[in-house]
Amino acid sequence: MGLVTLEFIEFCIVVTAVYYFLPGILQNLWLLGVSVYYILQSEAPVRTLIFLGGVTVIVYLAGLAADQSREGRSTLKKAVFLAALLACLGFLLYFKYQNFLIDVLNLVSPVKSAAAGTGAAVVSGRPHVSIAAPLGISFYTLQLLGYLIDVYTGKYQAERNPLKIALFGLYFPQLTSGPINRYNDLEPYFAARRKFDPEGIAAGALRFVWGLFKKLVISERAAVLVNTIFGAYEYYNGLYILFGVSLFAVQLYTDFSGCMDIVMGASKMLGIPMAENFDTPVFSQSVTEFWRRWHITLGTWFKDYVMYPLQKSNLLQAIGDKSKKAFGKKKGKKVPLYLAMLILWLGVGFWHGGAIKYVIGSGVLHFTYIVIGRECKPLFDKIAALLHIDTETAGFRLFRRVRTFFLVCSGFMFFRADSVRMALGMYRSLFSWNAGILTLSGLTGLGLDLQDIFVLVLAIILLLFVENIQQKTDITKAIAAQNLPARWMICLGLVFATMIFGMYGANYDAASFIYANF
Amino acid sequence: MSRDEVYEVLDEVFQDVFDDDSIMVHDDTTADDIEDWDSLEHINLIVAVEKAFKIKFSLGETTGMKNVGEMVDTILKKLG
Repeated sequence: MGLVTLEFIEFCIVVTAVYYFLPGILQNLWLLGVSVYYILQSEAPVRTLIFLGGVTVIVYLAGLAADQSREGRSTLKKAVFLAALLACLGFLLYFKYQNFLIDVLNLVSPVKSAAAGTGAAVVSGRPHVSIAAPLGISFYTLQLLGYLIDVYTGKYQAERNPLKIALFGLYFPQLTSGPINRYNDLEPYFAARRKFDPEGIAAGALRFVWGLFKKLVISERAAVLVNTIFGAYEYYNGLYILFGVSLFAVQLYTDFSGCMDIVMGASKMLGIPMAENFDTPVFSQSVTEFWRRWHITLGTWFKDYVMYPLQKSNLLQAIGDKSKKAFGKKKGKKVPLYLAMLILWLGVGFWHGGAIKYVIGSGVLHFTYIVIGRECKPLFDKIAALLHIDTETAGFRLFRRVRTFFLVCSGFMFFRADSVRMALGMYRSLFSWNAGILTLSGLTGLGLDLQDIFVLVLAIILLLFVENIQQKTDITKAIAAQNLPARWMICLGLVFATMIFGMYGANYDAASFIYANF
Repeated sequence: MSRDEVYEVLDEVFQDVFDDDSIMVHDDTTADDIEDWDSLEHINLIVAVEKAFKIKFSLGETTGMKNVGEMVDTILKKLG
């Protein structure tokens, strides 16, 4: 059941309507039941249910056994924890990265066979396998592992109620694309009866519709132009490439954050606010800030569960001590930090998929920008002082935002391209001048007519306007503070704009989200 | 060790890690109050505190402390 379908909207309405008539414990049972129903509507329902159920049971039992707050032998706890951790990561590797592992194996140990006819020895690779990964595996594996690590490291006690853990693992709004929730954030909502809250439901519904607007009016429209350019990149160069990758940034953002608005809205209607994944990243003034505001729950997960333990490990501490002796305290302490950061970014890149283009475009490139930004800050400050540049002006902030946008886009080029070779080819084309996109025929020759382009531009302006309000205040509260007619106008205006200008139907693949593939 | 004595040591640790002799921490001090205390410097601080008091914070404690007051509570608990 796709998130952008009438079926899902009807599903959410029925789930919410029944939910508020039920007592507390039945509310959780109801949510678990409808979540199982939701999974059964997915592409590989039985495999997803068995896998997700299995991982949830493993994590529940391992959590009880490895709980640091309970009596017991620490070696046994460690063994149980490591076994569960390896099992969950093993499943993830098997389903998501088996072809990557096959590629690595082919590289390390090529298979030799006799060529037909001549009998000469030839090197041939092991073939790729095709097993559909269970729905949302990369998201809930990290989420459940986060719980297990928290329990093992004593952040909070293991949950004894299996229903709560089952709900934490299977809760339908988070299944396909996250956010990657923390158990201690959601547990208080699972513990108490959720009371009927008309304002919460209205706010959730409005956010749901805003997500549909972003996805159907902006993302799907931008996708037409992006697909034209990336689909035949050999024929485009110069500003076309710049336009294509910039518009892909808009497409990806409205796709992913639109998806988040839909699921957060659905969850809010159920009285369960989930962790925010975006905080108006378009206004970021540095790559570091961008990653604090983009896919927040993934970044904080890797920071808390990968980077921090690495930084605290004896190995990196020893490296830090040696590098402090060699380079001095200030420079030396950066060595373990940057090593841990590099591993974090390799992990983030690899999480997106077992392909080098993700490792570069969503990992190493951003690591490089962040390190350069940190190391060159004193130099940039000196240059600004020398040239008497006031870095606090609105103009300079805008410059930083535009610079950050294009730095991020440079990574998105790899993300969107089919391969590293294609991305590099597009970079080469970028530097051959072609300003045809600036002409009317050049612009309308990419698959959208002038009217659609006009709608796209207006919708992006509306998005920027809303995001600008969002970064200053809670827009939900701002809307709730309006008079009833104004609230209805906003809500109905958004619904009709989505219905009239949304791109859905037989010719579009609006049901799929980019991040649902991860 | 009393709470005040813990604070005396902590002030020195913070001043050393962030290269700023004017830093004085108290219960409500958070990362927002110290310019260089960001997520990247956090572990350097945690490790320096561990060395100063000869204790070890768990991962849960490392990521769970909301302010210096909670850090002092944890230190005192570990010092027993």
